[in-house]
Parts: sequence; C-alpha cells; structure tokens
Amino acid sequence: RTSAEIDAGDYTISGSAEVDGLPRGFQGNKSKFEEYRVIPESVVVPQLQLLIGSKKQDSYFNFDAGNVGRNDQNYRLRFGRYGLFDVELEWDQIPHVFNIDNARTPYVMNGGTYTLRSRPTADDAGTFSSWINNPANTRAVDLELLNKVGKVSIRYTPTPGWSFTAKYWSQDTEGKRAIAFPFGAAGNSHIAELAEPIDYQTHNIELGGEYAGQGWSLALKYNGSLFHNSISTLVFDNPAAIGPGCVDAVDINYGLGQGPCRGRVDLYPSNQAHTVTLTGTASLPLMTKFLGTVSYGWRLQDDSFLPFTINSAIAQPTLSRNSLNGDIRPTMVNVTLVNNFINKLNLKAYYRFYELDNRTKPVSTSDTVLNDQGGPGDHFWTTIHPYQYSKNSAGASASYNFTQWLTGKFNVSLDRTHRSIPDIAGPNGAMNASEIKVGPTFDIKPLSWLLFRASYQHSWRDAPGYHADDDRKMFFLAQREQDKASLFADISPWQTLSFHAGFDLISDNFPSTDIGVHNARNYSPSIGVLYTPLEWLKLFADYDFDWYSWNQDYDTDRHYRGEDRVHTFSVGSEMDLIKDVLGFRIQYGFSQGLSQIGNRLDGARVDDPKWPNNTSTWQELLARLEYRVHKNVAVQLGYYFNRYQSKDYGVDIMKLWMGDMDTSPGQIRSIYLGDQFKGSYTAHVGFVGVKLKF
Amino acid sequence: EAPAPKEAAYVGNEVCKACHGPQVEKFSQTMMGKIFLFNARNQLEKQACESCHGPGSNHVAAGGGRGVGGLITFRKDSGEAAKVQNEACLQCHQRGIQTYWDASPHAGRGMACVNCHTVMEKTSDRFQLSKVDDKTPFFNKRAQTEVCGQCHLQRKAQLMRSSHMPLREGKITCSDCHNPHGSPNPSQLKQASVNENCYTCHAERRGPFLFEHPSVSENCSNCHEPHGTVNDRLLKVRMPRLCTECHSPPHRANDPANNVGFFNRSCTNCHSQIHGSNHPAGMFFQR
Repeated sequence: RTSAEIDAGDYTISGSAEVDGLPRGFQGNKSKFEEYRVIPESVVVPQLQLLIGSKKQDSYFNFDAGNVGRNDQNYRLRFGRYGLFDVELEWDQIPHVFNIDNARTPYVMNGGTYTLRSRPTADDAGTFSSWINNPANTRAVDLELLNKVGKVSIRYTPTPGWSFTAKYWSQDTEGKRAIAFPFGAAGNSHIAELAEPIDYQTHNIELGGEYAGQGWSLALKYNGSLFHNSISTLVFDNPAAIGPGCVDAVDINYGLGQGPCRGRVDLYPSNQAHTVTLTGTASLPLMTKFLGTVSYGWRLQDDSFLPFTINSAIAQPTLSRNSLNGDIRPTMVNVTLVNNFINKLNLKAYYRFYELDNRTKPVSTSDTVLNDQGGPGDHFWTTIHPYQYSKNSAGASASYNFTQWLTGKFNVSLDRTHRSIPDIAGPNGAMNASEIKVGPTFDIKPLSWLLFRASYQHSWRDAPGYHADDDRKMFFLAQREQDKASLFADISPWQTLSFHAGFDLISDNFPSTDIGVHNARNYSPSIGVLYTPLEWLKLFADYDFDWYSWNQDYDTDRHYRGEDRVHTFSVGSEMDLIKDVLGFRIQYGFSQGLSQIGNRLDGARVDDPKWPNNTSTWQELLARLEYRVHKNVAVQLGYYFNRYQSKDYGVDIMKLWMGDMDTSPGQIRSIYLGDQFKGSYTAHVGFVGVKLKF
Repeated sequence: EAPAPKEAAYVGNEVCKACHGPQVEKFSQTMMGKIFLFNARNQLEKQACESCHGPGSNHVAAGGGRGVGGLITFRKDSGEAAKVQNEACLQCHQRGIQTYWDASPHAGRGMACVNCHTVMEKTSDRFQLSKVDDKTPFFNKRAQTEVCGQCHLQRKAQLMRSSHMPLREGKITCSDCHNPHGSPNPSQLKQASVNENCYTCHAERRGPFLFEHPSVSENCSNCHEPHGTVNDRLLKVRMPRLCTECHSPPHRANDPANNVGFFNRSCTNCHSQIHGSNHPAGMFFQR
C-alpha cells in the first residue's frame, strides 16, 4: 500500500475518498447525455474505498462505493478469509434514460389505467390538432428506467478440492418507456403512443457445488429465476372516440367519432425459469481430456389470458383454455474431447445438442378480434401451435506447431437445425437446415515482439425446404454462404513502442433468395499505437472504420440497399510530469456514424423517393491534472467536454400529433409522445476534486 | 562432454526473497500472495514462488540472473511457450469458470493466461487483470473491456457508438455475457444460447408467449447487435428495412414523408409487442 495505514489492534485500516465539484455549462437535450449516468451540477463523491486487513494476513474486509447518492450509485462490500470463504454484497443502480426533455402525454397515468384529461369535441383535423397541441391538455412525462440490482454471493472452499457457491440477486426495474398501440385494422387505424408503466422484479438464485480430484472434476449447479410484472395489463382511452361521453361501438367511424372507447393490452407476463447443470471433466489415457456438460431447464408462464377485447359492443370469442400454461424445456448436452498425445499436435472434437422443447399445448379459439375493433372476416387464427427448434452440432479441429513460431489449425463443423414453426400464413411450417463450416487459423510469432493471427471460415447453409414467398422471407432460415475472416497484428519492436492492427470481415450471401435479403457485408479495419518515449510520458491512439451494407429486393421492381459507415477514433496521453507529485492525463474520443438507405426502382416505379441520411457524431474530451500536495492528499483539476449531434428523419419531425405527416383519413387521430429521443447536446463540465488516502 | 544439469530442488520462498524482496512484497498484497505466503492449504501452495516458477536450486546455484537455472518465466519477452506458462496456472485454476480452458478458442490460439492477467502485483479490483480501472465522475473504464479490447479491436470501437449498452459507463462488462476461459456454448457465451444470455437481464422477454415471433425466440442477434450500432435500440439494420428482411405485404413503408411505418419507432409504432404477445388478439404483436 502506498498510503499510510491506520493501526487498529490486530487490524490495519486503509482507504481512499474522492470528492469533486462539477460546475457545468450545458446546451441541448439531456436525454442522451445522461443515458446511463447522472452528472449533476453539484458536489459528487465518485469513489470511496475502505480496506481492513488482519495483521495475521488471514482475513480481509473491503468496501467500495461509487457515485455516492446518485441514481447510478454502486456499493460493494467484500469480506472473507483467504482460501476459505469469500462473501460479496453489491448494490448497483443503472439508469436508462430515453427522453427527459420533450415528451408529453394527454393521459392521466394511474398504474395500469390511463385516462385522457380531456377529449376532443369534434372529429375534424383542426379541432383535433388544437386539442392535442394545447399544453393544458398534456403533461410532460419522463421516459426513463431505473434498474436496481442487489447481489449476495458466497463462495466456500473448505478444502482445495471442494468448493460451494451460493448467489442471490434481485433486479427491480421501474419507470416508463414509449410504447404505441393501434386501434382498428390496417388502413383504418390510428395509433396511441403511451408511456408504458414498467414495474418489474426478478429474483435469481444460484446454488452450486464442485469437487476437483486428481485428474477429474464434477460440478452440479441449480439456477432459478422468478420474474414478476406488477403491471401486466394496460387500459387506455381511445383518443378517436370524441367526448365528452363515449359509448363503445363495434366499428370505428371517424365521422361520428365512434369506436372502442378504450384499448387494453397485455404487457409482459410473469414467468419463471429453472435450470440444473452438471459439468464433469476427466483425464483419459493417451493424454486425452474429457469435458462434458448436461443442462436441463424449465421455462414456465401461466398468466391468465385477457379477453380478446375491452370493447363491450363486441361479443367475446371463446378460447380453449384460460391461460397458456406455457412450458418450454431447454436442454443442452455438450461432450468435448481434447487430445495432446502427439507432440505438437492438438486435437479437439465435440458434439453439442441444444433443444428448445416447447411442450405448451395448442390453444384454439372460436373467432378473433383485432385491436378492439369488430367487423366481418376477422378470423385470423383458429389454433396456435408452439414454436420450437433443436440444433445438433459436431465439430473437430487439429492444431499443429509447425515450428516454434508457426501454429496452424484447421476447423470443421456441421450444424443441423430442425424447426417447427406455427403454420400462420404460409408453407414454411417446419424448416430444417444444415450448415457446414470449414477454415484454417494461423498464429505466427517469429520474434518475441512480433505476432500475427489470421483466421478464415467458409460456411454453407443448406435449407432445402425454404422458399421465400411474398409474406415471409425469413433470411435467418434461408440458404446461405458465409465468409468470415480475421487478421490481427501486434508489433512491439521496442519496449517503448507497440503497434496493433486488425481487420474483420463477414460476408453473407443468400443465393436462393429472389425476394428478400440477397447479401450483407461487414468489414472493419483497425489500427492503434502505444508509445512511451520517456518514462513519464505515454501516448496512445486508435482508429477503426466499420462498414456494413446489405441488399434486399422488396419485389421484382423495388431494390433497397443500406449502408452504415462508422469512423471511431481515440487519442490520448498520460504524463507523470513530476514523479509521484504531478500527473496529467488527456484523452479524446470521436465516433461518427452514417446510416443511409438507397432505393432503386425498375420500370415505371416512382413511389420510393430517396431517403434522407441519418448521422450521429459523438465526441468526448477529458483533461485531468492531479497534484499530490501530500503523500496522502491529491488535488485534481479537470475539464470534460462531451458533444453529441444527430440527424434522424424518424424522430427529428416528431410532435404530439403527426397530422401533417400522417395524412391518410383513417389516421388523423394518431397521437404521439413527441419523443425526440436522440436530441443533440454540448456539455462543458469542469471539475475540482480532492483525493484523500488513509 | 558437459555434465548434465542437476535436477533442480525446491529452496523455499525465503531464499527467493533474499534477492527478489520487492517482487515478493508486491506479490504479498495480492489474493494469491495472501494464500500462498500466509495461508497455504497444501504442498503446492506452500511452495509459493516455486509453485509457479518451478524449483529454484539451479537458479540459486548459478548465482541468479534472468532465464538462468531453468525457471519458468512469464515476461512478455521471455520466449517461454504459452503452454508451459499456462500449465503453472492450471495446476490450481482448472475448474469453475476455467473448466473449459483446454477446449477454448483462446487456448487453441496459443494465448497465455498472463496475456490478460497480472500475477505479481495487485492491479484491478478483481481478477488481477493486466489493465487497471479508471474511474471518473463521467465514465468508468473497466479493466476488463480494456483487456479484451487489446485484440478485439472492432468490438472495442463498437462500444463508442451512439446506440450501446452501458459498458463505457462501467455498468456491465464483457464477462457478464462471455466466459473468456471457454464454455460449452457458441461464442464462449456463459449461457446455453444467445437468448438465455439476454434473458439474464431481460427476463420479461423470456415468455413463453401465446404468440412467439420465431426470429426473436430463436436468436436475439437476428435483429440486435449487442456490442453497439448506429441504429437505435442496438438494431443491426434500421427499421423498417430490418423488418422487410423477412416481411413484405401488407405494408410497404416507402416514403418517409407520409408513412406511419417510417417515422418514430417505425413498424413498432403498431407492432410494439414484437418480442412476443400473450394476448389472444396479439397475433400481429399489436396487443
């Protein structure tokens, strides 16, 4: 320890604390700036640490805290006896902000029941616009979540051979996020965007025991997870039903302002999962090692079904039972053998089976209703069958040390997937696919300061039953040829200088797909350098370019192409200006992304204009000067700059009512939250801090 | 003919300390040092320095020196084979999360434990990583993402994109999803499938649902790129073109000027329950 320890009888105490003040200048939207963090313009305690150790060196007690008192705070307490047991308790909060700047809603939100503060009194667009855009009829709403995670973990090792673990962790998620629901069927629908109430609790437990003997080991583990959604139903007024009174009607009639008065949706149902896992290893003759894992699980869900509709004017169809009684049994078996019998030759072979065995019984109905609107011919389904799949994989690899500096490896594997997909609207009820993957890797280390790694893999996926019809093209089921390549180099000619470079490529082709995704390609070159010309000076820089493109045909006349291009760059320096007294760190990060979609039309098609580009630019600069005024006290001065700029055609135009965009007659009642969740900002934050060690 | 070297014998860590005092002092501050030097439970741990470096009598007899006396060395420029270095670690660390090391891609590519871990001095809060944490009031660089980012350059860059999980904020890290020491699962995932990995935090999407969306139920990464993208919600392709990879009629979002399937959250303006619906009227994931 570098700092002075406090002597407390049989124990020593040490630790550190940091207190910073953060004066700030800020312009723009806070949502993205505080997406997963809280940066208040106040005094903060980013770090606290307390270490207690026994002088006999047999036990420890550590306490860490970060971002004390903020919404992103974290606390960890760890204590134990070296080599015998270890106990860890942790509390962590993770905020997730979607929009805290400009979202508004006309609803009064009470748990899972949302009622309109007022209703428009006439059906015409002008009245509707005046109503929704009148600030008196809406309120600001923060769209954000807060995850609170509490963990307890105990590890007990009574002998070097035995170990037992017990873990419990809970995750509470509360807040609101945007969600939208339509009333009525396509072509005669309107949308109500709401702030979805989130109140989730998940309780997880893990219990395990393992014994490692001479040349073998066996481990048994149980995992349980219980998820509970406290608000699993959301009922909300229909903004298209004009006020002040509302009487349910079978059909939506905009002229009369009639339709369902309310909508009702089923939010995520409570569920539970249990898994038992057995893992074993054994050393076998001929320098062979066996590794095996078997796991079997249950995923269960039995929330009661809601009625088809809340619209009292529509007769409820009957269901064959009142809840799903969902029962999925995930199973995994893995057997791996590794052999080193022949010097310089490493052999590996494995077999893996994974099955999502869905034992849920089919559910039938007498009729259906869609989106709380009645009408003839709404018979969309009669019986729903469970979806399930299984995957058998087998593979082998041989690795040979050709020379001390060259290792080559060849991999081959075969995956066979069998799916059973509910026969909803097409012929692809059951889909089998086989995929063969082959490819070499090379690791070349001709000198202790020079390393090259290269790998390539080609795969063929055959899906004989697949045929893309107009409704479902399902690229993930289709025949595919894939090439994957990766290069990496690490060059450190001197202790003070090292370069690294990489190149990753993935190319997918779907040769039998006429309509749908034809291909997708991604490549990404990277380069970086770390230079320490002087003992007190370190410089570093990294650059990465990422390019991703895809091609798809919507139909025979319309061809779409998309591209994402991202430049990522970082540079920085650390300086120990006066050894152990004055240090300086500066670093800058930059990431610029461009996403564009292009359309090519054949024949007389003119209905797909050029789409605008989407861009995002993120910059971050941190400069920090640390002056140690005493061996245990340091003063910090710093500056943090963060800028985010974004252009996004999807949300730049957002407003509560999209009357000028959403022009089809049936949609003039659509309301939104005006959720510009990618708003730009510029932040300048200074910080003055004191770090104390004891 | 030169005489054959004598078989080395163990000399005990007090002898090592005589010349390597500062190193032993630093080592004594680590979890491993506390066990080996003060709380040893078996003969291997009692051998302390020599349990990893091998017996030191020849090294002592030769008067010491770098690489002298047949000791196993772990320096980057030592020229020692990774396999030899790793065998020292695997004497103890061959179970728990390291059970599948021998079959792991990292072992297969000749990686040494010391490429990622530092043994001789206390470094990161946990796992003795070769990089250290850097906590600031603004972001937390976790040692682990820095270690993995040394080779996984594309992944490291992806963390800086506009749509990302809270890795650069230090709230999660690579090993929350992956086990770099190997696992029986694809991509060294900790759980048996991509989805089961995601359900660890997103348990609400676990179902089972009355209406499952096959591409969702099978693999979250059909639509999402968890390491970071320039599209909202970590989508691999921007909607509506993400959805038109599989779906065509009855909608055709074409003109950004007047289409509800285009602005805001695009297709999920209506199909908001796209991860699965338990509502009898949720066949199209709208309820």
